[in-house]
Amino acid sequence: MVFQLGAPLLDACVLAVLAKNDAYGYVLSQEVKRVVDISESTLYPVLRRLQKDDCLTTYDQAVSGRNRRYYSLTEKGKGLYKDYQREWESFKASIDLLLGGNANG
Amino acid sequence: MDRTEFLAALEKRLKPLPKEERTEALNYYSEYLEEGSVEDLGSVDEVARQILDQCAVKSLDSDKKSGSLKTLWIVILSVFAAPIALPVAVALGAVLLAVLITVFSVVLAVVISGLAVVVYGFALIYLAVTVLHVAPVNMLMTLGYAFISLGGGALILIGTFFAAKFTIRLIAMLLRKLMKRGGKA
Repeated sequence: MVFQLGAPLLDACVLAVLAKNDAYGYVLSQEVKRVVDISESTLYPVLRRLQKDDCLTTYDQAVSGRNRRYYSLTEKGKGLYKDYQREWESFKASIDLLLGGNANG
Repeated sequence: MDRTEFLAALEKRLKPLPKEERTEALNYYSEYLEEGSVEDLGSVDEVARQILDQCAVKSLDSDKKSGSLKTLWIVILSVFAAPIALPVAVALGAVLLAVLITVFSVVLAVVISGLAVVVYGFALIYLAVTVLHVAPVNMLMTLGYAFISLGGGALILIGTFFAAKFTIRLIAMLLRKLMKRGGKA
């Protein structure tokens, strides 16, 4: 990955994945890693921080005798996700002015 | 390294954390390892470090009011742990110690004075009641002085307590600022 993924952008990606569906640790990390090349050790602190900031909530489900902890967006998390979407559109548009496919010198 | 070994190693490294944080982290990775492989997770040290870093940041931010004395200790110890020449570290430690001794001595002196004033007040009461009851006017006047002394002495003691607490907090804050600046440099 040439361009660095800062903490806010990583938060946004996690929120985006959860905006579609609640997910538990393993599946969530697989989803995020499909798009973004982060290491597993980076993801957990992000989840923990978002949870402490009340953007995420968790619930447990028993699956074949084991426990699965699902993460889900709170109202605050949904709001934050929308904010990030706006920020990203604006940021993307700015960079595209310089690097975008339609630029011609 | 297999699942159990990884989790055991992680638990060991997470000992500095409060129990709740440690359990949360171990639950997460234990659950992950039911489907994912230990190779996915990479090095235990890295995993632990990420968790500890994130928790440390959180607690440093919220620790502004409490534990001024604890901060003082941390700073003293970190002065000796910092990678600077030992003589300089010792000198800094000595300066810090000198400041603390000075504050303590001043506080002690004022406290003793305050106590003396209070004792004086009690002495005056004793005097007024036992000796001067034959001369009521004098007794009342002396009692008046006595209570002024008691009140004044109490105020000195209370004031000193708060002043000392404030000074320690001030020193801790200054040192913390210095430490942050030093850490960045």
